[in-house]
Amino acid sequence: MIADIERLAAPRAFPDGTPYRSLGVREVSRIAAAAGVAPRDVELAALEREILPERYARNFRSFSFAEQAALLRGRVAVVGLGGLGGAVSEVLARLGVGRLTLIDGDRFEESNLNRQLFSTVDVLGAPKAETAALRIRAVNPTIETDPRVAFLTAENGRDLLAGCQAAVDCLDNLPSRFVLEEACRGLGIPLVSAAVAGASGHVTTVFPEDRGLRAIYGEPASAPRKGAEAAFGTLPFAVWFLACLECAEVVKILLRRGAPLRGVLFLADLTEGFFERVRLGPAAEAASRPPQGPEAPSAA
Amino acid sequence: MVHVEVRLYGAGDRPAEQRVALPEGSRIRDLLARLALPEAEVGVVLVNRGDASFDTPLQEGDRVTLIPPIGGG
Repeated sequence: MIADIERLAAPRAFPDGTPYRSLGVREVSRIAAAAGVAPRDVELAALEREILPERYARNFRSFSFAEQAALLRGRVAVVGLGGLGGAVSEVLARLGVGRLTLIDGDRFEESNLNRQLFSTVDVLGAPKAETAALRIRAVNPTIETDPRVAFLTAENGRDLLAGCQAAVDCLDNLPSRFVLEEACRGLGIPLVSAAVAGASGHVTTVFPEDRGLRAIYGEPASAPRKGAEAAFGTLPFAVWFLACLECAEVVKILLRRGAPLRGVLFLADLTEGFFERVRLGPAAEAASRPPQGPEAPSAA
Repeated sequence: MVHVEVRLYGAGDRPAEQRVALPEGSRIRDLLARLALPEAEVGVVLVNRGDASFDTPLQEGDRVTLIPPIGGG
């Protein structure tokens, strides 16, 4: 396999003129088939030799060879494959996050078509998880998908999320979000959570020891099932915007680079043009005067 | 009187930003009453971008951010 990778790697140059060795999409497939291994193993072996699978050429040098390999070795669960989850799955697959557990017990319906990337007229009625896996295979067959046509519950949560380094909350109701958070705590993995109503939304990252979603929604028993989205719907540009922020959080977690939005809620209202980071949790209250600490810059 | 800047996410038909004058000693709860905003429609309250509650007293120049419960995806 290694000899084939070296032989089939082609010299190329980045737009700034820097030369590199590239391995094409077809070559990855061919080497994998010949060696009887997964395409992901071919890409990992290439990256170890500083040969860049061409499909990740525009991730480079924002990601080093080692970082691209770390993404490929990653396993992330996307929980909910509607508006947020469709966009999150697509972006993670294109980034090269190597293993995706795709969880949703639902099927596509017409009201999904305004925002859910994997919903098309011809898949109405099809299970979202299986449709998502087909799409990911078409976009990046290197990615190993594990579609689970099931709703995450307190009973099955740990099983569904087993082996994942992080979970992405792309759900559409508050009780399910708390169930997911508990499952992540039980497994000791971080949760990236976003939610949308109308043109507004927020994103945060919860590590097992953090207060987490209670800082946003209060206690689960008193939280409503649905929020303002029941009145304002969920607009696609807000959904995809928040989904992309979730992906940025996943990258920070997998690469241990940058500062995840822990104890911080990133807020956006795309109609008003509001974008800001706010501090969550009781510890923040004492620090709320004077305002504008270094961790709370506003782009608004 | 204290003057506060109020930013409302998911405002719908309400003003998304406004300046409100309230009597000295007013709390967030009093602000919500002034805005005729039911407490159930406010999920997170922040004062000067830090966590606050309906009981948090308001001071001159405070910046109040009100976020409805948001759960969609």
